[in-house]
Amino acid sequence: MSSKPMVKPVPKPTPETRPFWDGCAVGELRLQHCNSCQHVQYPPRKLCSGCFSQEVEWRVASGRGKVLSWSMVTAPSAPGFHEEVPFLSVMIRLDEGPVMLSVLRNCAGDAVDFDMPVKVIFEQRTEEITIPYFEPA
Amino acid sequence: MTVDLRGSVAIVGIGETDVGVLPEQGSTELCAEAARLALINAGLHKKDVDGLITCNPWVEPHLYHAEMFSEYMQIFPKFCMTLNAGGATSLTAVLRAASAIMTGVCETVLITHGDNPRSGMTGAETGQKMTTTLNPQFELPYGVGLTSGYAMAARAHMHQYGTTQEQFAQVAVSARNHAALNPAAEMRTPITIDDVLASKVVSDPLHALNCSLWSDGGAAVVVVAAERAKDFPNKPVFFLGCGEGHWHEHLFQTRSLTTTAASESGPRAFEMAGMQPSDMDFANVYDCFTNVVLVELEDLGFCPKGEGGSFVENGNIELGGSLPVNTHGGLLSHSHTGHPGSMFALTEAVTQLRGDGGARQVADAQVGLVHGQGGVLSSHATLILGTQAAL
Repeated sequence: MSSKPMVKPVPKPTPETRPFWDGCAVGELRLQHCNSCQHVQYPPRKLCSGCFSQEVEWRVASGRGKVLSWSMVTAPSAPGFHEEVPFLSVMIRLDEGPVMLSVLRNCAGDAVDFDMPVKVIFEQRTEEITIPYFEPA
Repeated sequence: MTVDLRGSVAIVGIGETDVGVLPEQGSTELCAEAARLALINAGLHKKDVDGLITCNPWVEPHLYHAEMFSEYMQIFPKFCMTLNAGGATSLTAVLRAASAIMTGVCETVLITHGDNPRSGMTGAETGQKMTTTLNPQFELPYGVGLTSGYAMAARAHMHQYGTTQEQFAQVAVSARNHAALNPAAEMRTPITIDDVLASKVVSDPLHALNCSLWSDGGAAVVVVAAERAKDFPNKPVFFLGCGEGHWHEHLFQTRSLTTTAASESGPRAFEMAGMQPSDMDFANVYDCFTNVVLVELEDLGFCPKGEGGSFVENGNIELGGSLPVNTHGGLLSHSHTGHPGSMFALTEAVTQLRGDGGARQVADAQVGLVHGQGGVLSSHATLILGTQAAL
């Protein structure tokens, strides 16, 4: 299947999100852990959104989670995805707690289910940016 | 020290432009036409306006929109504000107007919104603009849109509460039945549940007829202190309560896929009004997608949590039912003009409480609720309005 990665949106890392994207580039899903209240958060922030402590530490996450909900997207709503539809938009609760929006690969539309275990996979979009996707675990 | 806003201000003028496909009018023109009509309806001259609230349109945005608009209209307000809470904007504007009037900042607030997203943008431009509401790093790269967010919320509701696609479809059918009675509505040909289920799947479980329209149009209201309300040509409609709730901007950061901040905005509005959901004669709630109506009716307390599906069945949310919802036809069948969308739910509520609803008039309507929602189940604002008798 042909793809046109140049026309798909490419995240622009900021200082606070750079460690997340650096992790994806080396095949690690990284999450921030608060050393003060133990809250785990996504997306990245300069402070803990649970207690405002600045003692947040990057750790490599399990990369595993469960499906909270999904939709088979048949009409593309963003530029660059016309040849990719249909695809499975998914909301995933990571084992560490935070919820991620992503797309589920390698899964038929009638095979996905609530609480289905999934694991992260990575797809390189540009030389610098790799995007975390998921597939059935 | 606090100011009691219940009964403090009234809406004394409303204006609605035509809606639908209006290729000859730009966003600013529609905003101006709505404002002009509202001032005529209130019997006011533009020099009487000393407060102005607008919202930025998709098609002709300005960094300081309200200032641009005051310049365009040559109105020189002492209270001037551009609000941006998506589909909740119009109702958050009424709360800010009431607050400004009751703290003596200004006396006569014009709230006007207009946009022409249907005619003023190409499909590609619309897609591009809509994605600006997504998180640029953590949503946008996946190619998902707003519809898939609402679709995931719909599926979660079906899973958690046993809600069916037929129940979602009933909301679209009821909206269309109301629109059929409203000469101003864009889509007036009745539809059936089967029509909704047979329409093209956009993002499952949502079909095309579960989704609102995309329209050009504008609407406006004029707000003054209640003590002045008797001095205007049309029957005043009084502010009884308003509440807001804001939990997230991006859906993946929400606290729940099946319960929204309407569960906070609603009780706040009812508390201010000193009323209960059962006191409402009608409710105009945000219906960008059919499933949202079920969730809002639950979260606002019109039925127990999870029972929105059965509540909307059998015409219960139509004229003659226990709670007529969106008597103008809503975003599903009257028009969806982008951010100004909920303004028509507001002007319709005023029309009903004036008794000017014609063929779609709710019998003896004294109190009504309007609810707006912006983003993807993000910003929520609930407004309760009533007649003089409800004060």
